[in-house]
Amino acid sequence: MTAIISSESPSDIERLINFAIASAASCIEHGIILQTIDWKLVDRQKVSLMLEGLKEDGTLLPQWLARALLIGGHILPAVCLKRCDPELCVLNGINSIGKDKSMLQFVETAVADLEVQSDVDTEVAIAIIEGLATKGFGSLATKIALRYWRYVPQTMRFIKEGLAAHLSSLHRVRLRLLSFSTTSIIAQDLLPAFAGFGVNAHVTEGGFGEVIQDLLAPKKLDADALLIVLDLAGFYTPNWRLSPDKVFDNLQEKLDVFSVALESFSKNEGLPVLINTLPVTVSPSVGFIDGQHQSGEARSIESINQRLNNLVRNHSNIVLVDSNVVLSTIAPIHRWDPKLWFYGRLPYSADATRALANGFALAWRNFKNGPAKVLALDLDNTLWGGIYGEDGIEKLTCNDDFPGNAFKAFQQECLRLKTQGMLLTILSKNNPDALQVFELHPDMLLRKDDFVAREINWGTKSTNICRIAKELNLGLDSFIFIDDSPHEREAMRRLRPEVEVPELPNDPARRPRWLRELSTTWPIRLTEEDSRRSDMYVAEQKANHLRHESICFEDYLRGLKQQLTVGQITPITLTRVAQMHMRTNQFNLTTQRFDETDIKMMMADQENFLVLHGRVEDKFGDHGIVICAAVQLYGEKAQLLSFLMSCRVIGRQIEQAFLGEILKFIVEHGVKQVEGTFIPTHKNGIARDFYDRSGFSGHELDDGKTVWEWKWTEVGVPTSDFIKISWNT
Amino acid sequence: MINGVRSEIVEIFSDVFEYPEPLNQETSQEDIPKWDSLQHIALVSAIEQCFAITLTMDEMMEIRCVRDVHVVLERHGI
Repeated sequence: MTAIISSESPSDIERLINFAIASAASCIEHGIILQTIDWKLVDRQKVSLMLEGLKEDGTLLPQWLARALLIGGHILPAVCLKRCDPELCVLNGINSIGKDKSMLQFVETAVADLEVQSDVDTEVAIAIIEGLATKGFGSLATKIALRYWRYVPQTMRFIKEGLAAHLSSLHRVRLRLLSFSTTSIIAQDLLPAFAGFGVNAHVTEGGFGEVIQDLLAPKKLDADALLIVLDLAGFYTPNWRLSPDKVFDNLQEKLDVFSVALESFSKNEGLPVLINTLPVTVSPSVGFIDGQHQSGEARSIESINQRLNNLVRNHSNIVLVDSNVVLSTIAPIHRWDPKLWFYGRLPYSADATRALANGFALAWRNFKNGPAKVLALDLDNTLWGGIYGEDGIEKLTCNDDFPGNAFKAFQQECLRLKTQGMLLTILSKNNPDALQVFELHPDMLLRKDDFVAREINWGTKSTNICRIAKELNLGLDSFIFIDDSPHEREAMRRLRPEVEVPELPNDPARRPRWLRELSTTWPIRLTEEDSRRSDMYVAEQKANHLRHESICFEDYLRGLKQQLTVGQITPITLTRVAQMHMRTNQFNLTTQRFDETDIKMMMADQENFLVLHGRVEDKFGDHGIVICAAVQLYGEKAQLLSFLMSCRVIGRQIEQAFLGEILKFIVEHGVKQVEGTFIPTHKNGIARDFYDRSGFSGHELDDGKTVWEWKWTEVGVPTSDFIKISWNT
Repeated sequence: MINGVRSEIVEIFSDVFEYPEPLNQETSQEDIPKWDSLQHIALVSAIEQCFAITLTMDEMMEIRCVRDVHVVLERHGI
């Protein structure tokens, strides 16, 4: 943003600004003029006049203007900050320091809870760090700048002294850096990257391109770890006069030499070796068949990465830095800068180099410390939506529909970590009987037994976490505390600084992926638990094989080991059944959109109505409630008002089995004749012949509907040989 | 503007080269000891990031003094 004010005739400009400020409401309405003002140059009085004017006018301060004012160093009244991002509230706090002493503590705690992501607002980040540094809080500014460094490296200019002081307090690690290309830029970046993970890195660079020589050199390295920054050109610079086979052979030869050198180094020196994989290609050498062709770039990358993975598997001191993961926030085309490559054989762009440096630092931290061992999980609005003590079990959301599916997915991620050796524990301010939710709520994925310890009471979490730590005989530094409440997180950070307290996103939809990205949970090496995971993986692969290769569809269905649990609707399943009625379009015989009120009415009138649903589980997991039907009963006759099934399980004979169970059930209650209707829509063609297949006989009405009849004496009920059925009573 | 040098450029030069003297349009590679081929890359990256532009290889070679940076920026309409 350029300032208008820096022009030659300040008085005119000043008048212009005064005028804009006086008519601020109108400027906001039309989106003009105010955007171009550099608020650093406008004095406080004018800004407060403008804010007062807007208030009188009833115009809300838009966030873009709040942002510009805060970057300009102004202080906003609390009411204006209500709708602002947390970063802006922090900046407001920093602007108020000096005038208001209590603000420093607010800033310290708020800053600890800021999520630092790739879409960070650069100008705001700079203002935050510059503000703290110039007000004399160099050490806090340094900590924040290091967190933002990957995305906003410019802020390092404000913390030069702070960084030096910070580094001297950190543990020193000597790193030897090798590469087939230029290392000087990444060598510089390793300093802030490692500092961000609490390490004072001392880097020495190997000779240009002398990777093999360095690895095989007989002299002992004066280092604590070896870092090898790989790029494709180190292995793959095809000579296009050669045949594709020869190109491939050359690559393999180079890889052989490298592997042998690395293995011999790893055996002799025993030093940890950190090495990166190669990121995906964006410029294939053989178009779309790059991945299969002998001389293809994609295929070459894959073969290099494969080799690296094998090396890591066999050598416990080699640690892999997965480039595709650490570069994920940078678009592949921006990971390489042709100019830098040709100018100085720099294999990665400036952004990508910082991200790689960060990846190496992260890998080092995880290698040294190992992943965290315990998740301490809150319950309400963390593992499920809603508050147990207020809403009751049936209102808690954790199911297969929005928004419950986000909570279920989060539980899924917790379960994933459990299979990787993470211990799950509950740390919740709640009635002790909240634990029964895991047993009574039909859709909870986690079970009581998944948790190795729990503290569910009204005590403080900082005390309770110590109890769990004692019970498990683990240090607090093995814990990650996950809680949706910023207050609980703040208290934990303050009282138990050893515990890792990550900033859980507010939006439940973002949380499952967030937990994946939480790098302190990443295992670095195969453990016993990991091997169990790999068994599961093998089993799943076999199942996929089954699907792809089985000649016989029935073998596939048999292999699925499906279980259908039929039950009558309950207050807990009501929401799901109503949602299915509202949303299901494909396998829906009548497309009757019964809502919760309609279905509640049927539930209240059990003489005349029956609502049933089926939950399906197979060897891959629980699909939840995926099929349901509403039936009206008239003595010996019954009418299927609705019959619908989720498209996730179409083609598995579940509909037959479910219909069979309904028929059996109502026949037992004296029904002899059942009528069903098929009402065609442009989406439900897949269900057209369902009644026909199921032994009903039918005729078409004038309006395109078909009416189908089933009589108890004529034929048996439809069924499936591939589904185990039980009733939930 | 400081000494006829844009304030962003002053900041970039101070970041990259830690050059203590005031800059003017003629300040060049000969004046700044830290301005070697390696720091040149850092300079170009900092300019690209600060002004959200991408420099070409020619422009990268063209920059030899403070004035050259202004010329390149003008060409990019900045």
